[in-house]
Amino acid sequence: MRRLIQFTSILLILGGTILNCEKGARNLLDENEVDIEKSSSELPKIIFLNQPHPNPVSRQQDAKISSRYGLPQAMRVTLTVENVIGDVVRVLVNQQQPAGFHEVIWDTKNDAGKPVKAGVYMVHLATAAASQRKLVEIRD
Amino acid sequence: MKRIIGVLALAFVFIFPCPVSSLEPAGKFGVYGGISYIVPQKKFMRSNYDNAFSIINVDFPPVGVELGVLYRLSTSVDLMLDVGARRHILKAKDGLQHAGNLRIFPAAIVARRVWRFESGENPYAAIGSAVYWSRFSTNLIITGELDPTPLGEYGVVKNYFGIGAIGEAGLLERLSEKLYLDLGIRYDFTRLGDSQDGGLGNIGGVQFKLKTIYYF
Repeated sequence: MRRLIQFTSILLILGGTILNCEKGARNLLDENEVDIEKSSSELPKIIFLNQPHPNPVSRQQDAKISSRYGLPQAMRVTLTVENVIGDVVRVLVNQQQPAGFHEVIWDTKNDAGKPVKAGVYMVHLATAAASQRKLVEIRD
Repeated sequence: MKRIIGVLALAFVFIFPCPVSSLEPAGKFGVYGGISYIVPQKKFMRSNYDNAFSIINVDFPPVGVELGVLYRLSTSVDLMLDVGARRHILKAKDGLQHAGNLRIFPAAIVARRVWRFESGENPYAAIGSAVYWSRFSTNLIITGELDPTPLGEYGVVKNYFGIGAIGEAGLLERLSEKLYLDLGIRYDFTRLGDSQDGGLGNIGGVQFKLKTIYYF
């Protein structure tokens, strides 16, 4: 009986530790972060913009940053890259889009086709209903 | 033609002798310090940033600070060298996980023409040029090559450098022979790189300034 209690206690402690680890890992996720792979079969319930990746990225010839976002219904979408003041550096999307999950790749170039300088930039998703920004860094 | 008229007008303002100068300050040199409230010119900056206290992260009215020295070239023309500091906080809105700090440190040379009247209230106009050091700092979220899932956080700092032009007008209130109160409005045009190329563009604007000057 004593051994059973000890064994059960050890199991409970181990279980608690594992759960805490999992919770800690989940805390790293942004509240708005949506797992696009798991949700791809259904429409998103809210407008969201996931964390761009990779971040940070080195400034080189083929540097690319992926931005994933979701729309619960068809709507006009503007996805831009801004400098830290809010000036638009690059327009990635400016059109009516269907409901669902979308992914856009930024080649770290500005609207003139020149690679942008190293620094911090904001990926900005704007619709009539919502506006979200995520920060990314481009390094030398 | 407009440029020629502008240059002639400036020459008139700064070279033409002052008609009344019976109430001059006591000394040739002066030191000053003061505060300023900043309204950025850019709508983007106004909507994305809050003003904040310049130097440290404390809950305090949003003001910039300014210090400087002054040399009186003549009865009506002052040459001023001033340094300042101001801070703006990137608003943590629109899904931004982390706010950022944009600190701006201008160092300016300003030439000032003062019209000295018997009343003790002396209007002035000034022009100048400045160099600017700006520092943006924030925390970012690390993501991997293939997956947007956040892996951690890191801090990042980016410096920007640029030049600017200044125009200012105001009123000098004589408090005593050596002490003056200066109430002015300054417009500064500041260029910190090309915004299309990752710079910040014009981060200048209007500043309402209040400072005290001590002559010795």
